[in-house]
Amino acid sequence: MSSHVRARWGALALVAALGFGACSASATQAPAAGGGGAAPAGSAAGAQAVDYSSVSPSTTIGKNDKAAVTGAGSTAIYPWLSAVAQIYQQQVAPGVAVNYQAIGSGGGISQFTAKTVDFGASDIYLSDQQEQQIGVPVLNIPMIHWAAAMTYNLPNFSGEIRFSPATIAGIFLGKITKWNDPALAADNPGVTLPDIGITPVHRSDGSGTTMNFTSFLAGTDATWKSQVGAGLSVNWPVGPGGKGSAGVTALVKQTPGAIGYVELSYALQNNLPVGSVKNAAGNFVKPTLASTTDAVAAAVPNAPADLRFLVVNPPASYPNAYPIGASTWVLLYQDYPASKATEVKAMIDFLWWAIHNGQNYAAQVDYSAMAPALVTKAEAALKSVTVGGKPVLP
Amino acid sequence: MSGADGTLAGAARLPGAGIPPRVPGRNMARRRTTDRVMRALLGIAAVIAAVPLVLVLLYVLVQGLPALNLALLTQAPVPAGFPGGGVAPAVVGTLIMVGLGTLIGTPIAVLAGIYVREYAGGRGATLIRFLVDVLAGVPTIAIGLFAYGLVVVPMGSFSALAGAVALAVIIIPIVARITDEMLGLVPGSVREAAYALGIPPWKTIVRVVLPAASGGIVTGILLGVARIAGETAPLIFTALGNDRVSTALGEPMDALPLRIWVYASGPYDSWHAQAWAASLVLVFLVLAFSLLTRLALRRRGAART
Repeated sequence: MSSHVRARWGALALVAALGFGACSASATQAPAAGGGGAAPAGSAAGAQAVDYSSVSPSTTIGKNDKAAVTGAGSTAIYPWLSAVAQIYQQQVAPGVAVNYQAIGSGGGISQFTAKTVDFGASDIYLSDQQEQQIGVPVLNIPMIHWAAAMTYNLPNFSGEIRFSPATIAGIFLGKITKWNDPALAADNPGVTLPDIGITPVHRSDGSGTTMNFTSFLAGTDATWKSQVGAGLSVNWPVGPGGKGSAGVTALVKQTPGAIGYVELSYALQNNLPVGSVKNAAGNFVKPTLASTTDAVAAAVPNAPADLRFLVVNPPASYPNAYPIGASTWVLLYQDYPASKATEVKAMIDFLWWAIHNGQNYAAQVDYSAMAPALVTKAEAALKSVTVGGKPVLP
Repeated sequence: MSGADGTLAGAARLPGAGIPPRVPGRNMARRRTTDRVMRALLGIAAVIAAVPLVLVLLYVLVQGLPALNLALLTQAPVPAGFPGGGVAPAVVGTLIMVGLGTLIGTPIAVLAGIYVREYAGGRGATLIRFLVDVLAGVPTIAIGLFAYGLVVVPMGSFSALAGAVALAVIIIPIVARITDEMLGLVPGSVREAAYALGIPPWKTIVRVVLPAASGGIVTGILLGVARIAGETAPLIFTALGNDRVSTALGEPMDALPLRIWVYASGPYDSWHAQAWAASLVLVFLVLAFSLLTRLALRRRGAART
């Protein structure tokens, strides 16, 4: 319940940010000096306490510059990215309209490959094969972290449900069909589970949330790994599919007995309960900012230079980490045609703002801000973007 | 000549004249009963056909009115799950794309209809009519994909223009077929009268036939506009959608059916309320457009006579 209340307050704070943009404009534009890679050192777990605006350089976009930037992809990042895009327009660059359409990570990758958008967004980095298909050098730039929450609809049940990975796999394989199944009862000692059927809801479209969720199951459950595996879209043995995070959330909300996996804010904003999931250390952990940040902390030190990494199934040395953490990457071309100079300048400025100041809004919509070490790497990637061969950022 | 025919036919239709004597009473009673039953069935069917329209209008009105306010029409959408905001980009986008689609599509359609009715020979006309009918039957999602390949990919960007092209392709067969039918309703004697006065065929079509058929053609265009105003599928991969008010034809644009589709299939209560209100706005826009055009047409007709 407390997380619901927190979500509401977070929403209110963000509404305030959206509504009274003019008041805080000076704060977001502030410091120029220092700039660049001078991100303060700090532990990943303390990420949400960092004021990212202090590491942001002055913007390269003027008050009078006009540009329309189009991006498409991940529905998981949509609540945060659409909020940040609006705040950026209201507080930093009134002439820059970043239009982000949540069509799913699979759709985002397709459109990015077809070169019909300025940027894509995906909850899974591009594979080597996908990068080859695009034909030109591309960048995977992490933007934000979040938790894929197990959300469910049990009428007249107010308790909290705990899931072990094997139970989740059993439910989505169609082997566990009742909420009072012995496997669920074993996960939830002392809880009277309702005697109703389970409807496992998955994503019908190509989805990075599905990729992270199925990677988590494939990493913990041998049966799942051999029968279904991991991917943007897999061959689901049972259950209906919903389009996008919003579609899955709506299906769960409308279907008594349903369970689905969605980015945390979709569940909290719709007052749906979220379950705890058992991690490698054997603890049942709720998806929260802290538990997601812990999961990210386990993954970030091992993040390769190309910034392609997963945050699912953190090792047992992170006892409080939520096991189905995820990240969203913005997909950029290494080089843009000179004819797109204005759009690209605006887009890079917005993304630079998003990986710094934008991180401050993460917690308010139940996302987990990037660790400073990762921000530094994302900065380097953004600085490598060129237009007609010339760097966009100094 | 026609007078003589008329007299003869009239005489033949007089009761009792030249037909067998009346059938016995019992048979007549059965026929009357059959008549009444069939009339009742037809009447019921007519009512059933009209009921959905009334129900849809009432339902949209009841569900949509509570969320209908000035903010809905003047404000842009807020980030997912936040209260407030509106569908202004969708209203603007629908007006622009439906307008542009109609502008692109109807001239082609009317000219095609004229060609089929007035110029094409029997076999050619049959072939073109067949093709136009097939085009009318192509699922609109396929037309959207066509516009994606034709406009979006070459331009390297989703755009209002691509959406308008898709809508134009949808409106063309509707208007072309109705133009064709309406021109066919103009009696041949009218054309012959014009030819007899030495008026060339093209002038006959422009000054005599088209004006006579204009009411029906405009009704056809109205039907087409109403149809494309409500299309979602062809816009998904062409116009894409936009959270901001945009009037640039080269940029993605929002549309009411797109916004209704996204909001209605989403989980947020505020989205559902706005989807209903947006539906009401869409229905109202189509109705208002239809009424205004009919009024204008009637006034023009009155001025002429």
